[in-house]
Amino acid sequence: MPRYAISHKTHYDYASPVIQSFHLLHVSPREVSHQSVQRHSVIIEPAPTSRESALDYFGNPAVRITLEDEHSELSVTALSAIDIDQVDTPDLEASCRWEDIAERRVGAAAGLNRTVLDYACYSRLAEPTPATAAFARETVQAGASVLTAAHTITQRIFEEFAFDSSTTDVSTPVDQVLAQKSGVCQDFAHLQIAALRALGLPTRYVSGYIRTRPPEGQERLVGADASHAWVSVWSPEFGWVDFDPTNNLINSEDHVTIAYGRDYDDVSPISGVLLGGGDHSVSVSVDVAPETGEARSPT
Amino acid sequence: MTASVGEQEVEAGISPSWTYAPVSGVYDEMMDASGAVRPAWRPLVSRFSNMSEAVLSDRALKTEHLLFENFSDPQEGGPPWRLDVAPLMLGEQEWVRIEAAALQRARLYNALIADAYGPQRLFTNGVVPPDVVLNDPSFLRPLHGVTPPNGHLSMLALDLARDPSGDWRVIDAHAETPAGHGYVLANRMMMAEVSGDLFSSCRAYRIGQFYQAFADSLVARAQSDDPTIALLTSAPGEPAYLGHAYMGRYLGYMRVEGSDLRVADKRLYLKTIDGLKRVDLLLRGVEGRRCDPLELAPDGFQGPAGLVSAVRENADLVANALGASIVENRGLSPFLPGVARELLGEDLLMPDPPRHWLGEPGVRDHVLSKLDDFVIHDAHEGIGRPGEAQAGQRAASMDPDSRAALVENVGLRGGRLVAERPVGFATAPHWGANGLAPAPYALRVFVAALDGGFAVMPGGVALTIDADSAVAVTSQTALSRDVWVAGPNPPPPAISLKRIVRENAVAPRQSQELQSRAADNLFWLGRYCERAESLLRILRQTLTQTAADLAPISRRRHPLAPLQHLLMKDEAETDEQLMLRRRLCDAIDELSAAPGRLHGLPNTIDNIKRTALQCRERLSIDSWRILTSLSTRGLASQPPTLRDINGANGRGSHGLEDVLAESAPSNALDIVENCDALLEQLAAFAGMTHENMTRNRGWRFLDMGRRLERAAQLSELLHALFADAAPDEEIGDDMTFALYVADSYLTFRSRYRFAPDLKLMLDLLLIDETNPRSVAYQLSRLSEHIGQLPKSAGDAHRAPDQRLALDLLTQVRLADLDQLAAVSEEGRREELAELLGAVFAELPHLSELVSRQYFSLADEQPRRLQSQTRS
Repeated sequence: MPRYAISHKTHYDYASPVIQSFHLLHVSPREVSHQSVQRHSVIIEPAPTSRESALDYFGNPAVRITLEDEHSELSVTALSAIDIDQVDTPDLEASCRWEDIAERRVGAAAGLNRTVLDYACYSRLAEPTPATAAFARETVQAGASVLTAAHTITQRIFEEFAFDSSTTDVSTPVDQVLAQKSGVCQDFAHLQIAALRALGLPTRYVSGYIRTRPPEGQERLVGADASHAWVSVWSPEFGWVDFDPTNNLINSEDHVTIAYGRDYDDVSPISGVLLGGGDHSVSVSVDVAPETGEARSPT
Repeated sequence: MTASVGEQEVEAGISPSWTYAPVSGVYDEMMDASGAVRPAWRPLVSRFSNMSEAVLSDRALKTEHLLFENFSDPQEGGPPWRLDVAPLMLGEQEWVRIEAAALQRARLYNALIADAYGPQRLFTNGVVPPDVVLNDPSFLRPLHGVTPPNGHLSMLALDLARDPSGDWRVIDAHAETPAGHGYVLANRMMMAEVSGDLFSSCRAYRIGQFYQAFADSLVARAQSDDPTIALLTSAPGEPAYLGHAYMGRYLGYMRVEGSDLRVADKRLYLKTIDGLKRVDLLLRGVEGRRCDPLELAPDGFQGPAGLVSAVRENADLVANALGASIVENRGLSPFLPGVARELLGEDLLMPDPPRHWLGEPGVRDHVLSKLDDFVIHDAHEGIGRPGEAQAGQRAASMDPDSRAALVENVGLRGGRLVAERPVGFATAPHWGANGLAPAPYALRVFVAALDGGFAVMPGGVALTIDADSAVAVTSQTALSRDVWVAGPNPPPPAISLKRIVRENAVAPRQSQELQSRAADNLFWLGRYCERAESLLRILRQTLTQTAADLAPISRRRHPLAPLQHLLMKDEAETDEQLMLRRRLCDAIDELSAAPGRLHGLPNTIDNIKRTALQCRERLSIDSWRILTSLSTRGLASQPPTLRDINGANGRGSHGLEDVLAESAPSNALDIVENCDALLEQLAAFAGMTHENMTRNRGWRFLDMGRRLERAAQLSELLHALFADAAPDEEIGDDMTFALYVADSYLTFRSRYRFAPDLKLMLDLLLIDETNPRSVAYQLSRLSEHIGQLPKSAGDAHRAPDQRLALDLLTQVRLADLDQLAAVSEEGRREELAELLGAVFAELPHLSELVSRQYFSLADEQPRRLQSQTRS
């Protein structure tokens, strides 16, 4: 069971002073079945006028801050120590047929309740379109299991789409990602969500970190990691199972979860509204360092 | 003939001069199947029968006229809706039924919203499929768990229609904004104007009391003796603006936009010229999800960032509560009877029309198998303006491609769609080109939360609708009707609606707090009006002096001299020789008609209208009419094409001699007349603000703008004409010119009958503080105004704006006339040039200082910042 020491620093520089700012932070890892948060803190500079932590609608820890004094920079540093349990890859074939969920033959009694249905419904950045629906239908076979369906789409995005951060931005529509067959983790996640929701399957957006493994024989580069995004798909048999279309991975120990939402809008690590400020520059550094030895828990 | 005789007469039918034939087999509101007029309509029909068609047509025309005058958008042109001269009559028994159903709906919806944002029993108990609500973009998840003590609904509007057999249905509900109240108020006011004593003879309920009670309950709810209640609306020019602005004005609430508000320390504030002022209650006239760019829609800047956090602190802050519009969702229709039983333990009194929510696979398949029988609608439209619902999609009349797209859409977005069978509507009489004819209609009724419950307004607005295309209220032309509910006899005592509407004075609360944005707009309105006036006076005088040959052209150095500095403002070319070669026609046209010239007349007039629109609620209806009717038509000397050619080729191609030899444009007198007309309008507006506007801070900012601009314009003109000494024979003309432009010619003549003397003229136009046209007078008024502003008053230290105004005034006061008139060896009046130069160079600075002091809050534009997940 690995333990990670994670630091996630974001620094904003503003060309002119910001008179007042509001921020909503989703940088605190939530508890999930295979992950436990040992230590966590968020350091904000300059000190905010008000700061409050609460669980958001989706159960994610969120921090809301306001700064009422003029400021020309803002830095947010989230530090966490997290244990990740071994997660076994479920037997993909053992989940029900995707049509059982699409046709709602699976109901509330089997767990398809409000909290799960939320992720099958409309959301701005991952709305199913005719193109994404066609993509899903030509990828997924009739009668395939839910998890096989999710896995097939994961694989296809991994194989056919190029990772290219120059072709998209935070709000690129899924149809464009599909047409140009390139983008970044966030785009791939939105595309996969739209495709699976087009089939009627509850799918959620997961915001988090991924440990990057250095090439054989090389030292790990500190601060070279990044925020990451992938998806999670629901089946009555296994609950939520994670799929990472950027790396073609299922439920891995290298993934650290921060928050779930319907799409990026719900769990953007830092969003804010400023009065004043002019242009801004931002620098982000993420470090996911495996801690060895002392972190092992007695299980 | 007495009314009772008339009633008896129409008992058996409409008098012979009238023909009215309901559609066979369709319920008609006025006439039953046997051709008898229903009781509630008898007084009205009796009165109508006594009027000739001509009288009715005339009233219809008058209505159109009133609508156009009062409600047309200067940028759009026509009135946004039409009003039928025939009201819709509802009998007392009918009304009792409608009232009970509407009250039940309000209670039902209030409970439904509370459940969806709270325990969600309806979902867990299987009464409503969760995805009906979860698919609705207006379900605002961050508000889950926030419970307003006074309930989520303060205002609710319901669209009702009878099916052809006469049964009432609730075809739509509106809980997002108070949409439609503006129509009701405006329609009632107009009906009062055109219908004479018809209203009272029909013994209909008045609606003033309803609004009074609603306003009282809002005050009670805000828990403050003198609460600040603001109405949040979209910006002027947005479709919903007009109705909300009208309602706000009627209720006396300040109209605010998102940028007028700020949240600090989880409290809501209004930006005023005194700084931030606490807002106790925000009446919401914009979509809930666009009210907080931080926690709700990221692009929603119609409310202030942080509003949700302020609502968590005080859940009663916003009415209707954020997220309340989930009850507009048509997908709820099939489940409402169950909701009524679950939440109220009652049967639903008035059902929705038969409707299917397409999120359920079985229902979806059923509808797809009989698609031609249905009309497909969005479950949630989010538009509450009467008559503007979407028409819905009808597969039966589609080509194969559109049909395939519709089927695909139903498969993909079924959870956000409903299907309805079009069944048609009952009809009511409508006054059209062919007299009275039956037309399908829907009725919007309004419910408001009062202390301890809900109340229904005894009236409403009825709309003529398209029977074929939709169940929802769709009406492109928004042909509306006032709704008269027959009351008891004698009618209840009432507050006169008309009197309140006609009082245009700003409500007392508003005069206490002047929004930064309003102050900003009033200031600039003053400046633009004065700028236009000055421009017109200079144009007129240029034309008069050249055309009427008051001064032979050969004697003037250049007829363009007074126009020169105006033209220079927008032109990069500083080569004066080049400028001087411009033909007089071109120069005049450039200033009077060329679009896009920043300091030209068309742009200035556009700016007058724009700023006036922004502070419309502070202007009387008469003032507003004057300003919106300003037009630059007839001010150009040449048709546009010719002007363009001259502009492109003519400039610079004429020698100085050509210009000097050229006379004024041939239609100079027409242009002068049109200038006169515009000046009269501007003078009427100036007079109206002077005579009618209360001397509050709003007026002060308007007047400051006016004074500042007048001082700048006049000092620029004096500089242009007199800084360089002209030959003796020309100075008389220049002085005449300046005196006319400054409207001081007669004063001058009456004071100094003898030879025109430059020193005397400078005294009158520059230094004489008793002359309301002099530079000194403007500066003295400015200084006084600034001293009265909140940031100056009572302050021992003079603020920078106050110091600057005083400094300029002192310079002018201390000026020595002999020195001002003295000409140097270079032929220049150095002292005069320096003094005037200082005045017009420093005035923009003064304007800037005032802006920074009082309007800067209004300039803050919030921006959204987002981190990226880019791996």
